[in-house]
Amino acid sequence: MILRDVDNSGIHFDETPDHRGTEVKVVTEYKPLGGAIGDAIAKLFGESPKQQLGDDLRRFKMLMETGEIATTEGQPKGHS
Amino acid sequence: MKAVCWQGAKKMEVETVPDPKILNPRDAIIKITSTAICGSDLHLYNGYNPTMKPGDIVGHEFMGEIVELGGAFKNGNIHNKGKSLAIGDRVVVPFTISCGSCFFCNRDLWSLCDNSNPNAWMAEAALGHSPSGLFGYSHLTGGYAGGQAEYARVPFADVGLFKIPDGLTDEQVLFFTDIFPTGYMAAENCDIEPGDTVAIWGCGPVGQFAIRSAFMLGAGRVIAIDRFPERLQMAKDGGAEVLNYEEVEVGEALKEMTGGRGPDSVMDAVGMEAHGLGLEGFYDKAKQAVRLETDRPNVLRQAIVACRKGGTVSVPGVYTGFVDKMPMGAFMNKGLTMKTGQTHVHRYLHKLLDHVQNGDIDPSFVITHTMPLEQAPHGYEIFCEKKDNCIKIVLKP
Repeated sequence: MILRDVDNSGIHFDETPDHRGTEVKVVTEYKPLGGAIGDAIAKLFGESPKQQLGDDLRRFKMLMETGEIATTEGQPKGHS
Repeated sequence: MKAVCWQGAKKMEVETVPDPKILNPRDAIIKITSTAICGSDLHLYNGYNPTMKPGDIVGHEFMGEIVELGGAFKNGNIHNKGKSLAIGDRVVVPFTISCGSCFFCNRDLWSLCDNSNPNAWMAEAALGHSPSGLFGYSHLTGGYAGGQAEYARVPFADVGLFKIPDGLTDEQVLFFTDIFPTGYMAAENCDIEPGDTVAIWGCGPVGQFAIRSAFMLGAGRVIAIDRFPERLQMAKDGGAEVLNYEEVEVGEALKEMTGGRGPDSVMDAVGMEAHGLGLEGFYDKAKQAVRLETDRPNVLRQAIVACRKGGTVSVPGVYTGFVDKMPMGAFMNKGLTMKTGQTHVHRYLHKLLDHVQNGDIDPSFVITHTMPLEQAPHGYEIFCEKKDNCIKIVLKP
């Protein structure tokens, strides 16, 4: 993903409108491989850039608010 | 270690799995001394949650002893909330996993934590926003390994673990993990004024705690509704008047018992697998079988219609998806309020410990069966079928 010079592009930290927190906004432009159809397919697999950005932002919030990123990787489970 | 694993509908199996490990700095590992099967586990057992995977370890009512602590407890990490925990501490574990720092935890809304569900994207797609992670309750709530096992990993242990003072048995405190705060919050959600009449559908363990909590909160009368004699008897032992819905028409009975006005508040302590009678019951079962409806709201409908005008509908009963034919007309035109949610367990722990230590209540009353962890599959069966007068099962690893 490349951050290009779009109006207002970048990562913005602002107070939320109700002054109860910090809003982190990422403004970017991307050209999906395979055009609009490719993007729709990527979305089905949770891999459209917008979804990935959303996931990254959620993880960033966890890190900032709790010092950790919630995970279950490496936990035990039965046979499947 | 041994753990109870979901392997499909009506298939819980005890398997040998690796012991849990510390994965994050604020984790603790608990050696479990007692654990229980919850009514909501039955929704998983019966195959009603589509995000379960074979091998998932279940169980969310557990307690035990700290055997390992993560890195945050050794250094002065800024996110350690300062609660001192030590190896060997005896603790109960709330079933909701809460970080203690987010918008919701800060407002005492622990089951709505922003930061404890690694699968938040999934819950957000299904529900609009993600509630907190839960132990052993499907991938929608994070897929965390549960506590029907010999050991469990507890995230945010500084927020989650509640130390138990000496002099109380496991049986007296195990239910702080879920069903006692759940019944208590459900009764609180009835907005009880002194002398009020509260009608409670469902005399399972949550209903039983709700009955006793309603009296603790000032209710004048509690009317409890179920069809199993042993559950109705336990409700009576808690001070309730009882109605067997297979013998009487509940709506009419409630009107007669309240001078025609209806109960001041009503509680659905049954949830999505309600047992409906007659044509209505057939409609919901049929639709659910072909997945045209995911949840059966028979109790919710009855409760809304029975509640007095201007009253409150409290819903501790678990729902996962969508319901049909809600009497919104009745709800709106009678000016009702609905209060609901997964329990904010952390909010109630100190208060309920006080009640137990003062002798106001001994939560172990609800236990009818105790068995070794290995017998969990049998436990699920008798709990689900209500055989052998089963009301609550405690498992010993």
